[in-house]
Amino acid sequence: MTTHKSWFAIIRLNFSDTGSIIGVGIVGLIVLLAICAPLVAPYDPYLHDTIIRMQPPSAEHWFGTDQFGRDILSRLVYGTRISLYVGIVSVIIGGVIGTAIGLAAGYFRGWFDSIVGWFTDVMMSFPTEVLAIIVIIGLGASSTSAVIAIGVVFISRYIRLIRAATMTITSHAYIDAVNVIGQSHIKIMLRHILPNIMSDTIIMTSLWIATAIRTETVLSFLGLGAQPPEPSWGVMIRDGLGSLIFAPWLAIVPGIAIFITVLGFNLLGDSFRDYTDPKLNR
Amino acid sequence: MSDCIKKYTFFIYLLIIFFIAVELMSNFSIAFFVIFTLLVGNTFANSAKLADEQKIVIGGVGSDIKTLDPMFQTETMNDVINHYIYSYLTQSPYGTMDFENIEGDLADSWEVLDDGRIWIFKLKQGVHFHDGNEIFAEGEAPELTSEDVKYSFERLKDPEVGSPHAGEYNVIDSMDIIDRYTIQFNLNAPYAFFGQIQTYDFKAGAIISKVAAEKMAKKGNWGFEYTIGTGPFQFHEYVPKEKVVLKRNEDYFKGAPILETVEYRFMPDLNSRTLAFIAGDIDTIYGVRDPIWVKNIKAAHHEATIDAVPLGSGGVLHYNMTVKPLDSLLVRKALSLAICRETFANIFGSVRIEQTSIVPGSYEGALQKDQMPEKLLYRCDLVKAKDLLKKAGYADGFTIKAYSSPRPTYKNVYIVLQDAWRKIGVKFEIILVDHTAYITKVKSNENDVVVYSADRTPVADSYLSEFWHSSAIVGKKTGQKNFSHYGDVDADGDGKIDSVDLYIEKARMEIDPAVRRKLWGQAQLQILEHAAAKPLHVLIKVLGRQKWVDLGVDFKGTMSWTYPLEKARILAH
Repeated sequence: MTTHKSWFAIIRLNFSDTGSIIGVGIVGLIVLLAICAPLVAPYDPYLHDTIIRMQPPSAEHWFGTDQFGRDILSRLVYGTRISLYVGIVSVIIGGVIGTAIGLAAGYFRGWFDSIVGWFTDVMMSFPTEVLAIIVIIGLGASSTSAVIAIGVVFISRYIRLIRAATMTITSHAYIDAVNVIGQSHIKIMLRHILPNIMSDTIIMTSLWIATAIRTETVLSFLGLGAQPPEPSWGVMIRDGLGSLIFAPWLAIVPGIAIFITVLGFNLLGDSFRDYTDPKLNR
Repeated sequence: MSDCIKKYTFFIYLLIIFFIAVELMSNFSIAFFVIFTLLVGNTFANSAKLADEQKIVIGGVGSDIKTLDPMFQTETMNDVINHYIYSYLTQSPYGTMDFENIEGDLADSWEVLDDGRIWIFKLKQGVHFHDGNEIFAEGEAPELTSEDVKYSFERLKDPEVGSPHAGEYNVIDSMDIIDRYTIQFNLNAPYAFFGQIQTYDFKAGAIISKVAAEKMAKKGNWGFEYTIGTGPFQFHEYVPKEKVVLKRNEDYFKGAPILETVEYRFMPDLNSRTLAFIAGDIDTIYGVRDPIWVKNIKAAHHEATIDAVPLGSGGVLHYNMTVKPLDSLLVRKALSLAICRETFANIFGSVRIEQTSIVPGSYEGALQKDQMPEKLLYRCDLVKAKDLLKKAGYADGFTIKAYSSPRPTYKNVYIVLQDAWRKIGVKFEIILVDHTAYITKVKSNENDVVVYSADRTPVADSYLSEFWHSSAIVGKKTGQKNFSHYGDVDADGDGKIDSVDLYIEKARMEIDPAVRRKLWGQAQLQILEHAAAKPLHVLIKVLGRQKWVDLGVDFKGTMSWTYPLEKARILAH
């Protein structure tokens, strides 16, 4: 028995909504670019050609070239891989750990729930970027560290989300029923609670991927995430910032890419939410 | 006003021709007319109307400053501000970098005894420290004496004080006060350039007040209230993250400057700095060593003067020979051969001068390109580089790592190296850290390779002593910037330690310039033969000033990262 819409049903979006179409379109395009980067990128994103450094956009280089003569479009296309990698892997880390803890806390309650609640409150008292920076200081600056740091930040978010949803589900009679027939706690959590809270999780995940991408660019901008020569968008903005007056394309182009990507994931998340909201979707 | 002068230039010339004609006719003395002509010229030159407010605003780097203690200065902004606050024993002539003709700053004269082992400086009399501050009330600042000079160098060298520049004056063994205005430096070895190294303010040779210094705890940095020197401007105000304001030293021993106020504004963001300069909100700018920036700023603000100061920072790549596989001569040669200087020429263009030896070419005693064997130029040759790696047993490459400063003059070089070595299969990991952390890490021996840019007193000894003498090896008590550990390692694999200490020390004692140059040349050849470093380039300094900033001198250069302002004035605009 379920009280929520089937979690896989939410992928059937309402395509009459413009936001949904744009969101799906953007995310689809980003995913496609990431997968087909070697086919789409016109040049090697790491190739230096210092003769043509800092060229403005032209027919040969649509988005111009950077300080080392690298093609910005090619770096932008390869940058989608880093953004998606960080966005998806970090929410998976946060999601798996956070869901497991949140599910257990919401189901068993008691002292375990109190400790988890205290832990979550402490973690969430830090702004996302600040907590990520604290974690990175311990791990050392790199893309992998950024993924782990953002994943750690998301653990508390998932715990709070899943714990609350689990508590709602456990108050339903069917959970008492499966308890009475002697099903194990693990089975109840995995078979009867988890499927019913997955829709909430997926909605928030799509929104948090956007947050993760944004956080990665912030960390890379600060020199704490991706390191040279990785074509992270945050690195590209940082490198181009000093030339904003005379070569604005260096920072503006990756800035627009981040804006569009974050917008895409947010629109997608909104669509999921609207679709599963009983008040909006009768 | 200058436009006005230009307008009437034709009439001035007419007037001069008229008087010459009269002189020829009336047999007046030539001298009279020369004097007359000069007077006319000077009258017009000095008649440029001054601005009502004699204040100069420097658009400087850095977001804030921790100290103005000259013995703890590590940042460019310290150098700039302290340049105006403090005086030194000697200096190059105002507005020049003429180190062959150095003159006394605080020193009135000096004599060299015992083949350069003993230096006796006679100080100028009547030089007073800045007054009207928390330490010295108005008119109560003490006169500078030899006690202050002795105290300044003792504090600098005191390990308890912990100055990062302590090692730079290792050559001083002891000091004797001969009288109130005479001090004798006893060096531990003859040193022909002791006079020259005093001129360079980044070496922390500023003379401080003993009385003021003793009012604070001996250890650690000074607070701003102790920033008391004898220079043309004195500390007035510090606004965190905004500015440092200096006021004219009315009692400056060379005569009070015309400028009343010097304001150093913290402008870490290049875009803000550039826009403020174009808009005329700042009077001078700390430029960027990027040819594209220079070209664009000239185009956007053609009335301004952009000065490229020819004596710049020599950029050298040092291999840490204590790290595997960089202990192998073959590997180091391969890495050097993979680097194409042409790439740097494309990136740094007009702000770069090629450097083929480990001492910048403009320095006295530097080896020039035509004095070096072709093989030691390590011209780009990827095939040979790969071949050498194969011979060294690294055909599949290896991984090395380095921290990098985010400053373009470092970061861009590291990224170019990364690309160059990628082509021969060597993975080079770069980790960006802030500039201060970078300096700390390279001095703590944490980098496999070190790119270091430095401008020093332009004699080969300053570079060789600081970067290649065994006493300067990083990590040692006397350590400075010998990042390669040259002098402590077997660089060529013959089982013996290789060193150039003897050449450096002999050259210091040598009076004959030709022999001295030969010794320095031998040291440079040996280091290059052992591929302990790859010279990359000299990046020249870029400074900009508005058309209304009159420096009062035909500006030829400065060792500091700022303009000399002792004689400067702001014209009406």
